[in-house]
Amino acid sequence: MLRYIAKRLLHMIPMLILISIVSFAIIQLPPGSYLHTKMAELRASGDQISMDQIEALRIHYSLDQPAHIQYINWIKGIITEGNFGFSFEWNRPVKHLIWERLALSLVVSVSSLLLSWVVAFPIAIYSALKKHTFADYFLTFVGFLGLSTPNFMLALILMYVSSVYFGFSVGGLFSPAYLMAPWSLAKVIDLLKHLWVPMVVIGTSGTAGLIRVLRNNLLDELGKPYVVAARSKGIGIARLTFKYPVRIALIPFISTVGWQLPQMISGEAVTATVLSLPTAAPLLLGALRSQDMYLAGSFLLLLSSLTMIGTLISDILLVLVDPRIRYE
Amino acid sequence: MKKILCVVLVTMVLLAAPASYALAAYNEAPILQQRVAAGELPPVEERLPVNPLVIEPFEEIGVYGGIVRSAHRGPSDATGYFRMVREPLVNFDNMLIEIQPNLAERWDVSEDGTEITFHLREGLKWSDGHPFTTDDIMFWWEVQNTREIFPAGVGVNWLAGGVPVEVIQVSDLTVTFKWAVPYAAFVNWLAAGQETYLPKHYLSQFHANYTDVDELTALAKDEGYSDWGQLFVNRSGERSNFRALGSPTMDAWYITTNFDAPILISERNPYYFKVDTEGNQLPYVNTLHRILVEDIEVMKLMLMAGEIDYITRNLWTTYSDLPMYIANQERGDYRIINTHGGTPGALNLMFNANYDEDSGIAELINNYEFKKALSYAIDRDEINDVRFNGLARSGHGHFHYENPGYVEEVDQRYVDYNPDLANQILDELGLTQRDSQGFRLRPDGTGLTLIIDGSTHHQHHSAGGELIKSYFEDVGIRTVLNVIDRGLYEAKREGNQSMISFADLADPLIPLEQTGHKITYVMAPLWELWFESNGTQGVEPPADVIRLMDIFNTLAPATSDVEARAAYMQEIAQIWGDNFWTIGTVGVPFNLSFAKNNLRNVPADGAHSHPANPAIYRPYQWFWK
Amino acid sequence: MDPNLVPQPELIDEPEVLQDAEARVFYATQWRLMWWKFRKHKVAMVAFAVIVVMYLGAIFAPLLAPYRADERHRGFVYVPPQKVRFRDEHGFSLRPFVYPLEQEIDMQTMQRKFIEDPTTRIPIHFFVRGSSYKLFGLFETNIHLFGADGGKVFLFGTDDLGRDMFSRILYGAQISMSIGLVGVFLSLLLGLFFGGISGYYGGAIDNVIQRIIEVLRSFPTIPLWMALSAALPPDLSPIGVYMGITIILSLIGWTALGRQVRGKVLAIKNEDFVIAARLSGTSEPRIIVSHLIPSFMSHIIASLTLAIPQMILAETSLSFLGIGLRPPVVSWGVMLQKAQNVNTLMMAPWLLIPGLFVVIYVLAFNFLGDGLRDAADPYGN
Repeated sequence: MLRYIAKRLLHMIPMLILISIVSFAIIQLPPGSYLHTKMAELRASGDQISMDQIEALRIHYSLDQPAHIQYINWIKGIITEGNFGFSFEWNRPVKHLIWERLALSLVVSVSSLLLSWVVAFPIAIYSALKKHTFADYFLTFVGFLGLSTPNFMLALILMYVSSVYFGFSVGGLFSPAYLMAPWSLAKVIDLLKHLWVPMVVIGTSGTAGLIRVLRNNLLDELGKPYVVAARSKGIGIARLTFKYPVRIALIPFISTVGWQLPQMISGEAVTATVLSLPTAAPLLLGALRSQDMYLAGSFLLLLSSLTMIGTLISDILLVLVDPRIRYE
Repeated sequence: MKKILCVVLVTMVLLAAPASYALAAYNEAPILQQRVAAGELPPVEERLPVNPLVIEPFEEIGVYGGIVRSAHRGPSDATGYFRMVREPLVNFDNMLIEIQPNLAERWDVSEDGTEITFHLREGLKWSDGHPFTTDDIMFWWEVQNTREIFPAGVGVNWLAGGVPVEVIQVSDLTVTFKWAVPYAAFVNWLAAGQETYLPKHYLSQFHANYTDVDELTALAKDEGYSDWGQLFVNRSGERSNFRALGSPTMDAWYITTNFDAPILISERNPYYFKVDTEGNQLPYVNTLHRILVEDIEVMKLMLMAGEIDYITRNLWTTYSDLPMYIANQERGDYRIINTHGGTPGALNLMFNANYDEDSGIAELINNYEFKKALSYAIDRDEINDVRFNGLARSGHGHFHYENPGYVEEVDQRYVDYNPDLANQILDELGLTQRDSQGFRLRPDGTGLTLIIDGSTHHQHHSAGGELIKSYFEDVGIRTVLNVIDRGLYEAKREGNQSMISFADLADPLIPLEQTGHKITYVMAPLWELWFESNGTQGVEPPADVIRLMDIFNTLAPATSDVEARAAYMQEIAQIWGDNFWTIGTVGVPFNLSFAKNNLRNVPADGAHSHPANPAIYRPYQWFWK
Repeated sequence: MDPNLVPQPELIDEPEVLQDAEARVFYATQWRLMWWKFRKHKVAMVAFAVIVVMYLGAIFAPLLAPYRADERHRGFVYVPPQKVRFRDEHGFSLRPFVYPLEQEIDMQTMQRKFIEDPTTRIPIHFFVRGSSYKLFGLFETNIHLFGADGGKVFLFGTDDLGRDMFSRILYGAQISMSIGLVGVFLSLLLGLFFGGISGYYGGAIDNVIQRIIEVLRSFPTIPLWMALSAALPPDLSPIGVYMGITIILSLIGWTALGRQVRGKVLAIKNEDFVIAARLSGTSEPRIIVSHLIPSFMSHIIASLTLAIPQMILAETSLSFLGIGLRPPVVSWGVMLQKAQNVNTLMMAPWLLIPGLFVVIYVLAFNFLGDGLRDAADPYGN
């Protein structure tokens, strides 16, 4: 086991190098640079900007250096000083910006994930047991509805409804009155008033996938001889289902949990942008759009490295949980 | 020198004389009274300057208290906060006509227009109580000249005739800006919202001229900055705005959070130097909030839900949403204020005069008659009706119709919709052959396609562009519309790769601030480069362009005579009209702003200019009724 | 259900010849077994019908649409969906009709209002002559399925430029619904190729391909889209952008399929029939193409069906981000891009109708995919 983990960890080193190169390439690929965004912004707001000012900014942001030098400096900073570079747009070191955002992202993502589970679990079990009934179709339909609606549309509609019909304040995760307030029960309630919209939008889009995997695995298990045997012994279907097949059907989740992070961030990106949530995805999106390279690059590097680690953990868990899998 | 001495003497005499409007006793906000009573603050008389600036409120004397809430997009939108609170040495009135005293009580312009001397109020104090003097102006100039902070040296705005201004400290209260060539318009530029001071007593601790450079570098590294210049910018605020947490200010409010906080909160400055006509120290409102909202749509919803008390920036050109704003006025409890200004050229076609990727196309898009035909092909009434609810005006939009530079004949040249005439002109140009789809070919039989670039960030480039495309295709000119991300769009224009691009020409209405015309990059990147490089790079522009830039950079700024300036402006309009570099479609002559119904003293009429708004509406005398 | 909508209809009639059910099952081909199982999934059958109808709609869009996609109607901007009537106070009419609309702009509120004039009926005629078009790019004609005689008919209202939403949705379907097919086809090729060789050869090749997949999958998709779409040449024609976007979607979308194919190949490559083929000297590529791929094709088809709707959702997301297709191309994503503001929600909610079609399309494909997967499942009975 230890050898397996060590081997996997060793494998990760070239992967991480590859990821850092890809991250940097992604932010270098689009033509233009942050300066062009800055120029566009200044011009749009009626500011004057001259070529020599632009040249000054170019030097200041070290954009006058070739890409590989920028890359090496960036990586060197991360490894030697834990310095992820400087965000042009926010005028602050990157490391001051990302962690808080990532934490909020985690809150939104985990609560959305919980919602999808709460919705998907009963639907999947019910529809596996009562295949091809009206209730099966209806519940699956409900589960699929969230997947089928473009996220930005659903987010916009829910935000509108929540503002115009329920009178909740829109945007963000808190009402202005609680934004700067210390934690209290009232603040938690206020958070919930805001959190439900992203939870529903992001959560429902993942529900369909969960239902499908769970249902198919359950169907596989339910057809196996040990279930048939148990059934013939007169064990109640509900008890039986929850005793083994559900457990085994859950195994694939463990193996996919590691992959969830990038998908969650992607899923969250559009929704969080529409809702103006202070989470990681809009920051990443904004950074990519304005070509705020170190912020965007560091984010990508972090996310994909975390995903790598997540995958490793879920692989190890899988080996521990499922005796049928060998680590070779 | 003699002249300056003279001026100084006059100033001193004036300062010594009691001001006619000096008030006997001053009032202050209740929360400040408490702090005075608790011994935390000196009494109001000691906090105010000897001769406070007396402000007559737009509507009535207000009452103290309350919060004014707005929204912004975070640090990249910091300019929005700056433009609400900034305090230049002198200030424009709300119609952008008269220049009024502010931090400077008086100013004189030497007869030849090269020396402008400002006389500060006596006893001005920073928001931390430290005296404000010309030392702070000298320090600001020192920062402008610090390579670690401004790597390319002082900006072009501080050069005249290619030579940087000389800032001369005459006394604690008197400072002279000495230019190499006459530059009377300098005062206008300051009044539009340019600040020229920094808190030396606070910021010098982060400047290597005053503090050990190794110590500073260590501190900078510690906080994740690469050098002490970055650290300085962090402590002083962004280079063009200079507002940062912890840095003292002369504004009516000082910020108590960072720009990336969920709410940017600013509290009243107890040392603010203005009073109303009854001697109440301003501001009336205790606190400003700017809520961080990354999406403009959310801002609109917040406004309509009544969660924003005042907003103009970010929403000021959202004309197509006007019906929605009106429909929700009651729910949001706000009034809509239209200010003069706007975007006289809201969807202008900029033909790249330096286009060189296809000589045939380059020849055509530089052809006066060709552009005339295209102009006749555009149905401006439909654009107005469809995109602007009929609020726009047809015209080329070089100048706002209220601007002294406006020449009606030039603005209204070829703006009628006349596709037949357009076809006729195109035929006369020899574009008579057609391809299988009915599009015109070049005289040599090769294909002819116009490519128009637009930016996804502009509301009208995409939908308006579709209209323009169909108009051009109706007269047989094949057109490709290319609406791209704004960074890419800028990069293409800068790189001289755009054939035609959309641009919005805003007219700031401040004489000599017509940025849209000064900047030739939108239509000729290589000419621009020629000017920027003093003729060493790029392409030498034709005489008309050189004349245009001469007027802008030298001739018009030199004179303080309003008539003479208007004549120069009209000459500019004439040059634009004669060359017909760009085609205008429609423009909207006003901007939108929104204020809560019971937020009073927001002027119902005002001029709009990006750099000056909304500070010229004097937020410090707004109050809650 | 109409059996004609289903592929291989000739197989359906055949079972009647056989005497008893057991023999039927015994002799049935794999495809026929699948079909029998698929038929049981009622909703999947309905979904299949819906999809067929939608594709027919897209193919015959120029005929079905009363107007061209870019046809503007002056004075008819932001018209709400029009009511098609069969009766009014003058009585019942077998021929549907609409009332003419009069635009009124309230100068106080700046609101456009369209007042129906109930005194005149505008009858809706079928197979009317309108603007001309080329059906399938071949037959020049000007027949439209329906049209209003001497007036306008906007079933789904009009957009910000006064264009008929109904017509645009039909034309948009051509682009949006083909992007899914083309994209998935490209992903399939990539997935089969890389997944196949990875699973079949194993070893170093497998290792490299798996690492590539892992790296691709460990990035959120949006930055990858953004980077790749920004790298598209800016001067691409609208069709070029369409192809470019499709390629981008499939370049990123093939990894899931690749892994699946690899897994299947790994499972099957040591089965008896493959070993037999190898022993009898069949070449390796031939083994992959003629033995391995057919044996898991049913699964692949099911996964493909589920991947198609992902493509269309991705297209709308790309449009939302402003990096997808661009006007004047008409696609559902492009149309929805105009609807992503509160103004639309409040003042012109009918601009969201393309979203409804996205929902129906994606739902239908999901149910179809589930039906196919169930049918291809060897464990189910």
